[in-house]
Amino acid sequence: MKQRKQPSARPNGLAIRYGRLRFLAYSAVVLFLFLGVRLFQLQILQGREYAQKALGQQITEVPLASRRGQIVDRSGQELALELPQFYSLGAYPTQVTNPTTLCNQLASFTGRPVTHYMRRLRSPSKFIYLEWRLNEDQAAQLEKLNIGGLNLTKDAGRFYPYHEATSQLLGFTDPQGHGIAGLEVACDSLLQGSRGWETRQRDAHGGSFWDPLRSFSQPKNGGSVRLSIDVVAQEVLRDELEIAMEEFKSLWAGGVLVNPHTGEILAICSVPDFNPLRPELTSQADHKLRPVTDLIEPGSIFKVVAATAALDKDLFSLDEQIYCEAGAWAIGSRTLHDAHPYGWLSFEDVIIHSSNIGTAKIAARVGSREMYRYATRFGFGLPTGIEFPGEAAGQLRSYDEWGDIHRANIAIGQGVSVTMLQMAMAYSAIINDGILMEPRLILDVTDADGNHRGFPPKEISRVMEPQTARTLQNILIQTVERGTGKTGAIDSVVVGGKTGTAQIPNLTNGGYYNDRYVGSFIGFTTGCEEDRLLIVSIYDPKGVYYGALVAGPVFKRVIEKLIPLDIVRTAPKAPPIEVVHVQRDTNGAIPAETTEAAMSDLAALHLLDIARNMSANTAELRISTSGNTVPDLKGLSLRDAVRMLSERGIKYQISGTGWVVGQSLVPGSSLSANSICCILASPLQPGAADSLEQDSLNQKAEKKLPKITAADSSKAAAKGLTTKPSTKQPQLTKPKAASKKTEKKKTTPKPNPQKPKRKP
Amino acid sequence: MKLGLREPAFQHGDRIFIATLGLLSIFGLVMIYSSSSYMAFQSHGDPYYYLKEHLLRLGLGLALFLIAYNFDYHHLRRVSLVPWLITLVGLVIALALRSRWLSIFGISLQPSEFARIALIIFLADWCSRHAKRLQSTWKGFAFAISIILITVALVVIEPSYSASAMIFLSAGLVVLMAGAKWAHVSAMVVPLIPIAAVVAVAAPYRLQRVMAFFNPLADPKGAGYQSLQSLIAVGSGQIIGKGPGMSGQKFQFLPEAHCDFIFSILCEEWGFIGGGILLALFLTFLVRGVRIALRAPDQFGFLLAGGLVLSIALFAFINIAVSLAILPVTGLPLPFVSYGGSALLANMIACGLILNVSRHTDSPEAI
Repeated sequence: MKQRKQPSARPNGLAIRYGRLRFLAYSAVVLFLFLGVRLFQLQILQGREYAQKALGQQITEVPLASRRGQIVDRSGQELALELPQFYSLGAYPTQVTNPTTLCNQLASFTGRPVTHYMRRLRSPSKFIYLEWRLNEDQAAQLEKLNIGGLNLTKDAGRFYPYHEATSQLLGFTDPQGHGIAGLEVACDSLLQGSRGWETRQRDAHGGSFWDPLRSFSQPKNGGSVRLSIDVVAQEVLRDELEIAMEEFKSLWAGGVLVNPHTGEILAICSVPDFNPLRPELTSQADHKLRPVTDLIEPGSIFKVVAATAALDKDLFSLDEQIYCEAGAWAIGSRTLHDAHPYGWLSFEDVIIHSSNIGTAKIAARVGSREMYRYATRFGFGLPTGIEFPGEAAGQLRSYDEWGDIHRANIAIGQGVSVTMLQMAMAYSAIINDGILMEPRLILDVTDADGNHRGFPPKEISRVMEPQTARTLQNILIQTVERGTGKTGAIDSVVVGGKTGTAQIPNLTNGGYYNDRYVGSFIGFTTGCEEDRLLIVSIYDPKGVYYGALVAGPVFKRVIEKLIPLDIVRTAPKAPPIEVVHVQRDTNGAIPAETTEAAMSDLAALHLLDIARNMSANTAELRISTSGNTVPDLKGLSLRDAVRMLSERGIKYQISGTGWVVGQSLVPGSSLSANSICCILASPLQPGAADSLEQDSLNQKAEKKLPKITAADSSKAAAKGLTTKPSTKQPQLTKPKAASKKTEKKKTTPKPNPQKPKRKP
Repeated sequence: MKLGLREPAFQHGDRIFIATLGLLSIFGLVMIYSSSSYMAFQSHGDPYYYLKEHLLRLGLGLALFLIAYNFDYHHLRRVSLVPWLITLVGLVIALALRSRWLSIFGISLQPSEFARIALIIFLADWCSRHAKRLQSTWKGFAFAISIILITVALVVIEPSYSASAMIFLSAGLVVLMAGAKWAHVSAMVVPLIPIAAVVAVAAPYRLQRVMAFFNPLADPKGAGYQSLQSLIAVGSGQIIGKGPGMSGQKFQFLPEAHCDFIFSILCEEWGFIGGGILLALFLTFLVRGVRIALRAPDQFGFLLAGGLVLSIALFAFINIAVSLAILPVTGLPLPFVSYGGSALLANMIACGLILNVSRHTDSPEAI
């Protein structure tokens, strides 16, 4: 350009218009410089603004999931955990090649109607989720169908090894892992942990991928929750409730097993329940943990309130006679009936034989105000404080609204609504010498950082004097021995209890149904190392409906099953019990020497009880005696062997399951106070393991328990591990209670066996 | 030459011009890979797909470049009509096939790109032969313009408006350089303005594009989308850019990021510095190219080199102006940088010819 040349200088002599090109070139340079200015404006002057816009559309923040924590039972058995073996099925509706086959197949997997999937497939969305929690088999079957437009992905899902047995208690989660019901929602924030996030680069169509300049916040995994539940007891209770529900064709049946001294709930459930993997297939009513969420009218089991008030206020003596009007008593316009007509009954017999009229008369003397006060002290009409969603508080109208009829009705447990849990805690207060405990479902929690937080037993308040509590315990024991509660009696353990049968209120028309009842039994074992209390309610049974007949046998069967599992501990019970009458001293007390003398006379082992209902100068001592020698256990079933040992008050330690093949103490030898009998059991038929050496057993016994414990629990742990992979098909496998037997024995610590309250 | 020999055995083309071409091509390779890898992976499963295709075309282009560079461009004058006629035939065949593309040996080519080069060659020859007629009579001018219009008409029918406009502008510049009278030029251009306006309004999408250009934010998801996304890309690069390969806009926010909007991605990744360097390279290309034309030994060389340089510079300007939202979205590639076979091959041939002219420059020593 700088080169200036004359047109004439060109060889061909033509005039070349260099000027035109120069002009065009200069213009072009100006235009390019203008582009430079524009670039400067955009990138330097407005750069930050555009950078902001770019970030806004290019970067997206996605959540990072945290791993949901576990829920375990008191011995650490997993009740709810994350398993990475579920499949989610997504679909691109427009690309699905064979929707009919697909929908039929899915319906056969899950039990949902075919139309449900058809409707989903008609969705206008590009991509939809069709189903989740498909197992490996189902995923394989789907792949075999070779249907286009599907997307099967494997992901972690919530798994409940005990399925229905813990379904209502634990609840369930949604596909995103948020608790929806039960403890899953009560402990959601703890189990959930905290979600993290990270930035991801995204494209214009919503896809996202690794961002090279990623910023993020790490998710924090959820903590774990240890429940007071003993899953073995839970399964036993659930199975028995189901049997009873089917037998009596009842609407539902519920039960709660607690440790009355600590308020720990060992088992709580109701039937019908649901499959926690497919909750949507069951009506929501069955999702409820009915013992906590449903109100029932308690019936006669509520009579203890009137009795407590009367005894605590010293309004009656135990042997005071009450006239029961021969079965029909008119209060105002209404007539109160007894199931069996009685004439005169003592105070305690009114409760023992469950006379409605007698109880109404007791309540009349106690008065509405005191009745109300005691009912509230027991916790009726108030939430128990359990950490469970949807707990019902129950209904207890204020006493100033009560007429005579109301008071009479409430005394016999009608016209008042309670939850089974409230009832269980109220009776626990009686067994716990008058102190009401808060129900305890969560023993402790551990967050992801390992921080541990325990929830110790919590006393709420004193309901009654200890003396009153003991008297009531005695009355309840007698109720089972000779009163309405006989169906709950168990040979190997001292049982107290009360039955109840209540009419079901008609909520639509008012009043009560004439032919619909709820039959309950609440009972407890006592005199054991650890007392247990179990309430069973059968709601609307067909045919028989008395609590004694429908619920009593359930109580009995559950407790009997729990004895060999060592969840209910039997004490050296009565056989044989000697009853001795001794003289009281001038103060009405019983001199220690007298008791000792009586006991040594009989070579007795335990002073069981001192009956209070005797006259002023004599007392009745119940003393158990037994000639204790070691029985021969070989060939017995483990359950029979355990019963035999516990009847004799011999402590024992079990290895294995099945039939007894060896024992550490020589049969026929006499017992020392702290000897422990080790039993070796084998699943083989008796006789097959005769060669087992007695010596090794003796050694085991000498080396004391911890070693065996360790070995055995590790064995059990190994078992636990080997059963896990077999849970591939969640619906099919189920850890058997039997396999847990041995573990139970070793892991449950045995607390102080002596009960101070039994001593006068 | 230092030895005073009158007949130089071989004279190289302008080295700075060659270096500029090399740098532009390297920029192109880097940017094509960066901007197309995500899309290539999504559509072809291979992030290198477009890079490989481009390398293939670059190789082919280099061959054509060497051919165009290595013979004496004066021989072209004898057959200057031939390339033009061939491209006309190509255009007609493409029309018959209802396509902008013709597939030759597995490579699809746009005849319109080659028509531009061929037309410039033919006009450069014709104008240098009939310069006097062109410079004095309206008949000469009308002849030149009708040659241009014949070519343009075939491209317009395709229809490819931006390509036909570029052919018209490039060829028109040759006629202007050759000395057409301003009166003739304005007599032709002024009536075109209302025609252009009618054409623009006739098709709604074109009107939308134009409207969107004046206010890209009015309809960010619609017509103004591309302009806005391009501005975001360029602006967010700021001074030093996000770094090589770190563009966020290439993830399908900018459609055709490796073709029409490659400059935007370059500005995003390399910032003002990178954008400035690219502008400087094109400026160098322009200045050195014009220098070659001014030093051409004859008028044919002058018009040939000048026309080709201006044509390529015009492409660069329009592409960059679109990226910077100064002009409405058109869809023209950035010479040597964008992915796009035909334009690359045509431009390589053009540069071969420009440098061919450069080889015959009267050296200062020679004068």
